Amino acid sequence: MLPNNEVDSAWQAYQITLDCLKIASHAVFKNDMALLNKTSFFGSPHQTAHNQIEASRRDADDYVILAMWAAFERTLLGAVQAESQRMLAGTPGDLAIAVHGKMAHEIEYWRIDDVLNLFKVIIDPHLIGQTKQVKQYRDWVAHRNLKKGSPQMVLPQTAYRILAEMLRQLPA
Amino acid sequence: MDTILSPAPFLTHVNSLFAEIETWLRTAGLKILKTDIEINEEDYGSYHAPKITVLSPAGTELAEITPVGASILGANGRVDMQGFADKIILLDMAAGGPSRNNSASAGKSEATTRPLFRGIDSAGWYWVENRISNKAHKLNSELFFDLLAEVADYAPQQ
Repeated sequence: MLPNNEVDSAWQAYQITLDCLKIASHAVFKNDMALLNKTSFFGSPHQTAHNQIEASRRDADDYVILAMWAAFERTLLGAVQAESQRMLAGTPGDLAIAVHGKMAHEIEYWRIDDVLNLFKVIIDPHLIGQTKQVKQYRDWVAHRNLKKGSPQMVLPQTAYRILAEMLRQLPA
Repeated sequence: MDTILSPAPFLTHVNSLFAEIETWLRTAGLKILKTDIEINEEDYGSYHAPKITVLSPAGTELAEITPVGASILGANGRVDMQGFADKIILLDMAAGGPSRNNSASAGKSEATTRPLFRGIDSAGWYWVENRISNKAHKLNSELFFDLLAEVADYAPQQ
């Protein structure tokens, strides 16, 4: 399947990463020296190699959330920029040009929750709410406060389904 | 003030799942080792949950089945099964599973609700395919041993 957007690209890269980790696990378990030669696993105790691969898998689950969110956020802001560009259609007045200029300059600094709220007029608020939960989990992954306990967790495949659906419903 | 919820329903479901898995494993001649873990979640605080390790008849560790938490977007709980080769995730789903509305603005008619994952007809533990398909499969003995083969490359002797 070819990626349709950057969220798809991140998702597909994650799938490949999982496959690579699976191959590495098999190679370690089966002592496949042809595959392990010239890798850091060569000469490691089985358990150490296994733990390293398991940790990498956990990291991959986190990184794909960060990567998909970054791609999604760029596309979302692009959609708002495109919408604001439409203000200049026809013969815009000086005020419209000034408002557009300020929006274009400052949009990168808007709170993402506020940006998402703008889309409630065209996208189901429930989906917007789910998207905010993905963001909340993304923030926890990025800044992890272990004392506080984990917030509502979001599986990579759930995040992918939600963000892909949001992109599908964004105006072209 | 934030209210701490009770993880009791999640733990009840985990215990039911583990009782079923234990039956399947014993029927197949496999052993289990039960231990206890601590989970810390923002919504539920810190609590203890059971964890099981699946052992071959010779006592070799095949997989660990570990509760991860009750606060999961789109599910009522999560349990991971980790073997040497891979990890799979089991989700405790309500009937129908998580959904999304497929229309634009509320009130602009023709709103259709579509499930996020297909195949969640009744409440229970499900494995969701991680690829292009968004199909969820309800856990039963046959699927459990397929998943065990996936994570641990192990098939019990028939």
